[in-house]
Amino acid sequence: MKLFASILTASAITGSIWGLVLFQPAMAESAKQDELKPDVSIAQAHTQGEKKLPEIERQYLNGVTKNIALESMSALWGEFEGEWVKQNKLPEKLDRIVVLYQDLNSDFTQAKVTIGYIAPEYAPSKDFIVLPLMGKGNEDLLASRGQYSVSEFIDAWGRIDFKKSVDALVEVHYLSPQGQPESSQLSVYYK
Amino acid sequence: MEFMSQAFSEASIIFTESWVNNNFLVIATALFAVELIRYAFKKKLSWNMVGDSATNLITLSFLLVTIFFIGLAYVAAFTYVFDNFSLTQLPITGWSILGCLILADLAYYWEHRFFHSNGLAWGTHSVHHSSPYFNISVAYRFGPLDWFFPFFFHLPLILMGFNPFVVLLCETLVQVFQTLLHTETVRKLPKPIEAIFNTPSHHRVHHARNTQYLDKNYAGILIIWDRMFGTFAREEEPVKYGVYPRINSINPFKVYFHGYTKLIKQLWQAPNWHYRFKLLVKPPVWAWKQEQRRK
Repeated sequence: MKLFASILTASAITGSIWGLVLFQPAMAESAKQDELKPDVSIAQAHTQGEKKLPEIERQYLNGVTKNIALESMSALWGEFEGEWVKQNKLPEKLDRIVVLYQDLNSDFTQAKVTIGYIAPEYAPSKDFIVLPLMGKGNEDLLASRGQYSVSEFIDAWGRIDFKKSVDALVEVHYLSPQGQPESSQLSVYYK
Repeated sequence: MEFMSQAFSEASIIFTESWVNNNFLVIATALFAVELIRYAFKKKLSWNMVGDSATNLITLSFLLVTIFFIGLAYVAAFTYVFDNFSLTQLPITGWSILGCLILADLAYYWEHRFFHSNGLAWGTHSVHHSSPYFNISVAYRFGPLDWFFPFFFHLPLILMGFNPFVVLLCETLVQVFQTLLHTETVRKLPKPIEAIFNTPSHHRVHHARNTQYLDKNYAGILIIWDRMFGTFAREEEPVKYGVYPRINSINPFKVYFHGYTKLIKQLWQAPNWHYRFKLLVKPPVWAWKQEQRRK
């Protein structure tokens, strides 16, 4: 094969493999969707001898879910924007975007992350992710609702009580009526 | 399949790379000892071969000293490009690592072909080819700029969004695989393996100075690249190793710098600037032909 044809072929191979690798997150995501455990919170309620909480008290998140390294968060935000914002899939009256971090590894570098909105209570789907139950006394507010710089918000992670086992972290980004980010809040949920 | 979709942390990739690097050196040393014993049994072991092997390891130490100083800048440049210019940022999963490994192997093919295609790069790579022997220690025979050129061939992977540490891990895996190919102990492997993978037989051809073997078999892990791009040659007649003219030295400094010493001499004696430019960009055989013509 001549040099130019070889370079063209190599470019085509590179593009194809890159395309396949780009496509793989979707496969990973669909694999993860099947693993959803919507009854986790109920099981927890039973073990702690609490009264079973009514369905309405649970909140569900609808959006994109991935197992990722936390340094790749910007890519997930990009995906959320591409799949939900640009395609106008979000509800018209949206006042907050929620980011849920679950299954964090020991050095807090990777997690199952969901970026989405709180789904309507009346239509739970298997694609929805269950948000941790609030008011059980197992959560701590790491950053109360306010305006933070990126570094201040990252610093808030340092206030996690690492002696306890972390179940999840929830970031809430409140939006203005025009849909612009207004304030944020960060909470940790311990097991 | 689920394993391939599982996300890995950057720290685990860094750990894996250093683990591979450290442990592989032990394995390579053990294999080299076996090779030396085999040569001794075949009465082929000579002091020159032992000296040549020691020189190879000294050139490795020269490279390691260089990497000690520039390694951080190398990683920093990859990370900077990844953070600021990459088209996307791919998750660190088994699929990403597999894709990156295939592309790093393809990048290696072109990098290696580049090393053979012009005087500037050949100045460093000729060091690797200058040994008249072929054993595991030759894999560690490096030239002064062997760290420099690969950067540019792997940078596109960073721009495509592969994590810098995944790219470095894949570069290491390609390098480690090739190290094992520098041996005369293994003749030929089963046909399906010889068809797909680079093998000691294919790599002996690459190190040959026999005319029909020149500029062939650039592959790292997969020989399919050579088969595809028309640079493949099968090992048929016995291989004569080394470069022409031979350097006939086991002085590590002479071996390490001889490629660029020769190039500088050629540049100094060149009749004009146009010729000097051609010495840098034309294949080394071009300079040799010009010299023959003048003689």
